[in-house]
Amino acid sequence: MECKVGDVVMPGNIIQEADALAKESKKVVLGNGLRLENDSAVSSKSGLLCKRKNIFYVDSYQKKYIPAKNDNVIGIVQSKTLEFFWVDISYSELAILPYLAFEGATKKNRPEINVGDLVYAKVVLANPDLEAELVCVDSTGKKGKLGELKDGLMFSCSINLVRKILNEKCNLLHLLSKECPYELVAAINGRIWINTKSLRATILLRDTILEAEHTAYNQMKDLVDRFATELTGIKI
Amino acid sequence: MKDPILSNNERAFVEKAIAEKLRIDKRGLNEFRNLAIFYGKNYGSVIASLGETKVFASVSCEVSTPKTTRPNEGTIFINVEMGSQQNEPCIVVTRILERTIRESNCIDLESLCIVAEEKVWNLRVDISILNNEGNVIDCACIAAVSALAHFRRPDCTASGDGEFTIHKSAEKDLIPIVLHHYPICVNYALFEGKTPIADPTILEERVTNASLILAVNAYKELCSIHLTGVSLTSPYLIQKCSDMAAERAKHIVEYIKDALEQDRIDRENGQAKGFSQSIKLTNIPSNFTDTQEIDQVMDTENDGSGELEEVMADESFEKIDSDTVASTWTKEESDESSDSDVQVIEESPKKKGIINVMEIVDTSSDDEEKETIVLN
Amino acid sequence: MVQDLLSAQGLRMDGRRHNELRQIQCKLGVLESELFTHKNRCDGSAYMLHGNTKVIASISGPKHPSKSSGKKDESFIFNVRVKFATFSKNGERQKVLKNSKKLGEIEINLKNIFKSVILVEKYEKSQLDLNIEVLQHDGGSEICTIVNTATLALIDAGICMKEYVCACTASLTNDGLALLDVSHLEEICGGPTLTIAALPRIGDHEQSVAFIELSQKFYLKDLNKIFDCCQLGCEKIRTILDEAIRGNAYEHVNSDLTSN
Repeated sequence: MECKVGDVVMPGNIIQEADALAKESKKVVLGNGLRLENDSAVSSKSGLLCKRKNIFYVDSYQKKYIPAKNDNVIGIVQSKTLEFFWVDISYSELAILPYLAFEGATKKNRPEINVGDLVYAKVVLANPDLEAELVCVDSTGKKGKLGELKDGLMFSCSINLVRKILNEKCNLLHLLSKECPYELVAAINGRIWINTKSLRATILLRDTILEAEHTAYNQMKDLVDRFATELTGIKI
Repeated sequence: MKDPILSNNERAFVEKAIAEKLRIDKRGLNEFRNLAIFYGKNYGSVIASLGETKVFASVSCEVSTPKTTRPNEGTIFINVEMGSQQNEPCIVVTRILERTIRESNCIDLESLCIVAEEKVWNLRVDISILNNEGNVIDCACIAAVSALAHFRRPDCTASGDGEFTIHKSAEKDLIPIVLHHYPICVNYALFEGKTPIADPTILEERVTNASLILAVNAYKELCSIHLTGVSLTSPYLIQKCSDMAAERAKHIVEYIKDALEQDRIDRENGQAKGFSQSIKLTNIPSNFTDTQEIDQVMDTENDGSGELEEVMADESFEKIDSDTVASTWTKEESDESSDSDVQVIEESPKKKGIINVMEIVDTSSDDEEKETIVLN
Repeated sequence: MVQDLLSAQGLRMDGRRHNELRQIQCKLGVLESELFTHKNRCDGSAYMLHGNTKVIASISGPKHPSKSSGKKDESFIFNVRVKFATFSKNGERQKVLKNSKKLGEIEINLKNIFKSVILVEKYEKSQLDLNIEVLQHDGGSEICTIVNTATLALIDAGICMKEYVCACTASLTNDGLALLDVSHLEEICGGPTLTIAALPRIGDHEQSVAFIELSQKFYLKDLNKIFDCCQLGCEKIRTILDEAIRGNAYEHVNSDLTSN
């Protein structure tokens, strides 16, 4: 079967396009969901075949989060030890967040975070054989936007939805910001944290964002309009 | 893997919202989620769903010997499976159902007797929790009761000398179980021991940890009460909840009877639908339906214009965009590795939508060497 | 209902009036531990005879949580273990159900009742074990006696609690009269049985309920009546427990005086 970029591929399909490119002795990179079998590129997942420059990969709908380096995630602090926090990042194993990985933290000056608090952190170490390690500072030691998330509402969603609303093509967040001021963190581990000035608006915002999963990009405007009417409906 | 502990933010939000008479799914405090009952093609198999909570119940029967204390009564056995090793909630649900269904005498057990002191029918109700989005007990009770009401057992004739024959369905019509009344469990989550919330979701259940379960039938008879979790309640509240529960039970019983009647009509017309009608087909993410759009996204990515714009209207509120730092990182890396050989990399799947985030394995490191494969 | 529970003279099968409790006898500190340094020694105990039900409860703790017990995220670990003696029912040796659902339910219920009454914040990061031994029971709602005994044992061990927890049962006759403290015979005759565990505050405070259990059905309008009856029973039990605790305290004071 001929598999072009943009087609849905199934496990076992041969990607001729990648083979052809490779025969021209060009560099070809096989990404996620593709592997090399008998000198030809074969897909091992089902999903959309995508290509960027010389990189081929399969874009599949996945619910399970697997930590990778440089991901920004929202974690829930599960417990504390002498040196670090154990943080749940919706992976099967807990991740480590050292006390020293906060801005201005020293051995004596520990961050004031309790069990059950939310942290927005970056994955710095993702090795299959080790616990993932998180930090709440960037390479210059500044916390930037990372750190503890106070108040607000955190909810879980599919990884697909996070990717979707962060996509440049999706103007949902932009449109929403015109209706109602809000804070939002969309973390790639399938968790979104929102905060607005009123509880009611937060609840509506959560609803709207979750609904966006089943809305096409060009229909986002209608979705936001509905949000706006519901929001103003309350004020009256 | 056990559930991660509830975040303080979620707990605080739910509590604040309840204090303002708001719920996360926009329901009122005494509002229930949508109930649906689907009958299977076999008698006595039911899927009941309450919102996203789904429970499957199936009733079966076999001939066995009666208990010595009750020689002329059949027996009923209830088994609940949660699908995980969670022991405590499973015991609680089983015991509440046993008390609601068995100890309220809603089934005419004497009619299940074949030969006194020798052979009786033993009913078995198997309940599987397919999906737990909160309020399992209500849903399980509705499923169990409607499965029992739907069930038909083979007819049986006993001759005088203790012999009996069980007729196949082809010989004699199957006969239903006699139910005196339909007990319905109604679960109220108690916030601070005084605000009852009807039909709690899993988040609300985890926040309060205390609930009052009342089993009431359509005749306003109380069949069982159960106070679960760590809580202190006032007698006044129990009185108030039981009145609300009676109202709810009446509606549910009507609903079950309507569904049974509908199923009977469908069966007569030979149009029994089975469980296929319980499957919804709307859950396809729309960004996978349009391949054209995806292509365009990929095009824009090629331009490398990746910065997400700051879009907030209010200065005090800012949007924290996820991957600004990550994008600069990866650009450098991909430049470095551009003169390396063709490689197979483990590109993480979640990266696709986020523009220009692409991780390339650094080929100079020894660890990743085994992943570097040359095409041709 | 098979049989009427109340005779024409207004007496019940065992000769009690409708609002009379069965005989209750109780004693604190029945188990003494010689080894005061032992990790699992008994720190408080009580014995109670209620009708034909005999229960011994013992407390061990508060102590450092043992590694095997409890989950990490729980700050206060409270373990309950209930055991029925092999000869407990009818005085005959019987197969004892271990890990049965009924036993599991009693343990879960006890855990919940006492967690809501013990001042948990005082015992963070510590463990408390409650062991219940039912020596004899006449069927039915033994949980009521178990709760009362456990309350005494907790007081004997000096655990901080909000109040006494007292449990009591009540039933209903055909004429709609509430009967206090149901015996086994009355229970199998088929009346509905309501069991509550309450904190019977004396004075203006509203009574609060920690546990409710109901078997068999009755009309909603009778709930008030039977509930009030239960609460009355709890208050009566409270006075009995009170006397026992006071008596125990006097004994201790007197023995201190004589030894000095």
